[in-house]
Amino acid sequence: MRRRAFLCGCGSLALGAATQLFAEDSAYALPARFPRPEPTSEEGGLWSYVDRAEKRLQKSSFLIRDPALQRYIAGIACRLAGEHCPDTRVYLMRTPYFNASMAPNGMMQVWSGLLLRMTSEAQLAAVLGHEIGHYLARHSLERLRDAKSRGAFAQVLGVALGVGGAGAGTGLLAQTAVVAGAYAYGRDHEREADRIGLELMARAGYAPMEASRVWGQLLEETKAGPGSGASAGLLFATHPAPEEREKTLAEAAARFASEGRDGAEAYRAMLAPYRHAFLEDELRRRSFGESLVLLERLARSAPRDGEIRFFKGEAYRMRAEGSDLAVAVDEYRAAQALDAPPTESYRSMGIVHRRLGQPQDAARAFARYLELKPDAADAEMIRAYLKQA
Amino acid sequence: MSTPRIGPALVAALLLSGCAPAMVKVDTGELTINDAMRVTLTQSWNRFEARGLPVRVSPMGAHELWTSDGLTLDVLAFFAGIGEGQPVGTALPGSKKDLPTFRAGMSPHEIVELYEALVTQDGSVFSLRRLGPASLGEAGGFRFEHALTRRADGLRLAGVGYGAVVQGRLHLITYTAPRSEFYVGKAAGVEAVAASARIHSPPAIAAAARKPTPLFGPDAKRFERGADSGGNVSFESTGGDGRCSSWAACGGREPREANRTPTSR
Repeated sequence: MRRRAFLCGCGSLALGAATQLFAEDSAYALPARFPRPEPTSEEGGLWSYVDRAEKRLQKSSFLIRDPALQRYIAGIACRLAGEHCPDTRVYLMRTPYFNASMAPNGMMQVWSGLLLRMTSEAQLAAVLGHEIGHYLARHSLERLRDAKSRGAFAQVLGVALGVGGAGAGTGLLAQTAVVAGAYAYGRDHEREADRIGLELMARAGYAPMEASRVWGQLLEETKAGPGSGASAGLLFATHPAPEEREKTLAEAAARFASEGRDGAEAYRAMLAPYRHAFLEDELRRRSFGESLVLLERLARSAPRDGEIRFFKGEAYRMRAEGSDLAVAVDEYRAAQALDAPPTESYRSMGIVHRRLGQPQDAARAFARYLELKPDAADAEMIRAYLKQA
Repeated sequence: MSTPRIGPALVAALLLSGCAPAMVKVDTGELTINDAMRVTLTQSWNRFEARGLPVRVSPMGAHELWTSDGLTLDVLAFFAGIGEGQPVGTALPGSKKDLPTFRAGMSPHEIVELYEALVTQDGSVFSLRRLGPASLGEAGGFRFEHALTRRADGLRLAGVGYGAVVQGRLHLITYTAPRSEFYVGKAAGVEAVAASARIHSPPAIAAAARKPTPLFGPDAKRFERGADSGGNVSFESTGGDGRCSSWAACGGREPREANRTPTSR
């Protein structure tokens, strides 16, 4: 699902209409598996195009090739997709934006920015369920048809892949997100995908209430952004009342009898080996306000986690506005008192002390870094710092 | 750091202006870059140039952008004389985010992050492989190696960079090429370019105090072959007695010791 597409649908869901929508009988009947269309048909042509795109995706340098993690995420998708599981192929992409998508041929992409932002299996299931909802209702096929009729097929597909097309032409992933929004699903499609997604979540045993929390988290994050650009501003400019969306989904979720499970611990454990790299990618977006909100949230869910506090320090250090550098030192110090702080926290602390003209504090931090990591790739440089101090 | 920045906005502007990007051969010999750095080439390179345009065009915002085998493969970039408050390179067309800016007190780690911010704007993935003190020509500074997975095509690149802060101005030479024997084969030539670099004297640097050449702008300066206004001054990072004035300028060595150390790469 395109981030914007997802949010667009959310934002456009008027409270009254949603109440009516979710008041319908929830016994959603999954359609039968979709047969592969005739190659000579229009749909067959679209599938063929998407198939070729999928082959390129399989060779992408940004594909996360970890069988265990892939199985885990694909397992969540399969529990949601039911009998459509054999047609669903999940690709995990290292791309630091909130995004997932599912093509008519069953190719599903999950971006690392989404994985980083979700705090439980149930939250991820909410997003994947929504995307599967689009797939089951054949919205993705309709969208491709519509794009083809407007001559925008390559752009839509390019956006779906995160490579090629308009996104790569500019080289800006943020712009990719903007383009995605331009070809977002319509409001009716979003509402239907929401309904199906919640149903699928509940059937799979996940807590439907987590769907509204996903929205709340995103809202909190985007509000901390610059108010323009690819993430927040455009969304809210074109789709008002995002707060209603969170409320609407919560009310809809309350109609399900079972509370469901969230699978937070398993999710954290599976993502743990990747979180450091994903957080590095997150900070490279240079949207520090949004990143700090995300990090605060992650820290609340794992208060003893030294790695999260370290990255908070990194966000302040890289932003370097006002008292940020001093705050960064505090965060590094806090991280070092928690569980498993990254060794780099000492290096970064030294760099900040050096910048602030505190050579003795810098030397202590650098010495500790070298003590813990004498063969670091930058050890020569650190020793030079120490010599200078 | 190469192809993704030669984006559609640039191409469209060039076409609309009736101009086209071209490669111009850079012969061996001495060359001056942005009135702030001079290099001596023992092998020829190809320089990116937009012929017919009234201003200089550089896709990365580099003062010079050279290649051996084409910008989609290898890129040698020069950032010469970056002053306080200026970024390394320029933001991508359409980007609403500013690049971080250079501050005189920055450590080599932070300077490498300035370059990292430039080359990861498009979502490419950067990884620092090595960082240590080194000379940029005769000026003390630092050298770093990195890996870069390019977002546009997924190509895995290897890179090397040299930097030095001289009289409060940052000078960088960076090179990237596909991570393979290809890179290894080219690296020696790049090291030779870096070793030949001479940073100009303070007056020349002061005269050259300008922002890095933007994609389009009236203050861009034409490439000048052999126009060395600063003379053959080797230790502009030093005071009049030849001492380094800062750690960065001395490559992490004691100032006097560093000043006696000739180009060593």
